[in-house]
Amino acid sequence: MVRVGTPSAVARPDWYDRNPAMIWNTYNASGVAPHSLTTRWTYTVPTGKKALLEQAMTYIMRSTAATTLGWASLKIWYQPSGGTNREMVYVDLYDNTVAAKTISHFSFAMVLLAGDVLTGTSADTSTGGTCNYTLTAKATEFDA
Amino acid sequence: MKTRVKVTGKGTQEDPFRVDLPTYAMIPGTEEFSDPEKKVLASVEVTIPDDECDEKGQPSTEKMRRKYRGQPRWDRPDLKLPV
Repeated sequence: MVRVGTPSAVARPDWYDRNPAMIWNTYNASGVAPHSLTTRWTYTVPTGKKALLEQAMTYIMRSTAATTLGWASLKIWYQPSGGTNREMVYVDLYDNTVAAKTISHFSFAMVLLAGDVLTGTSADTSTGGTCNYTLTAKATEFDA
Repeated sequence: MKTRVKVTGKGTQEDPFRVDLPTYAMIPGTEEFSDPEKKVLASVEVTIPDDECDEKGQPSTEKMRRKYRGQPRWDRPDLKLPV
């Protein structure tokens, strides 16, 4: 009998068994005053690795009322290696009621390649007042 | 590792405030402003992966070039880190 292909005994391990590492990007802040667009975290996939983006969560709550209300927002951006930065997740809050909030959960099965970049940003175009923010993304990095 | 680094950018859609490092997370409440009235960010404390730091806990160009070798943005002989 002739066998064709790689015997299963020496098959390459699945992605989650190839030196996996948890990647947990988080921004969690309270009482943040209005601010321009700010990159709170960045993750770049190292050479020789890939990453599977699995989930993200965004939370904005108005903690004190603004004098002039603007948009409080959180974004997650994706930039493929050598490519252009693009918005992938966008949530905002336009409500001056104290404790008004927006919470979103996202599930992904998105493979990131070496050199790809994820960034998380926040902004608040109000005058005065503050908001609480949480912006997280979880991925598993593994040998390519 | 935790370290204080310079912030670049203008806070605009095209040029947001950011730290020129491949992987980092800002630590809330550590922001320092060059113009506090206009909220122009000057520096901030960030956490960066241990394998990108030297023995003193500072970002290391050598380690970053090795970890991101072949990536034009980071694997450059003239790589300057925002410390």
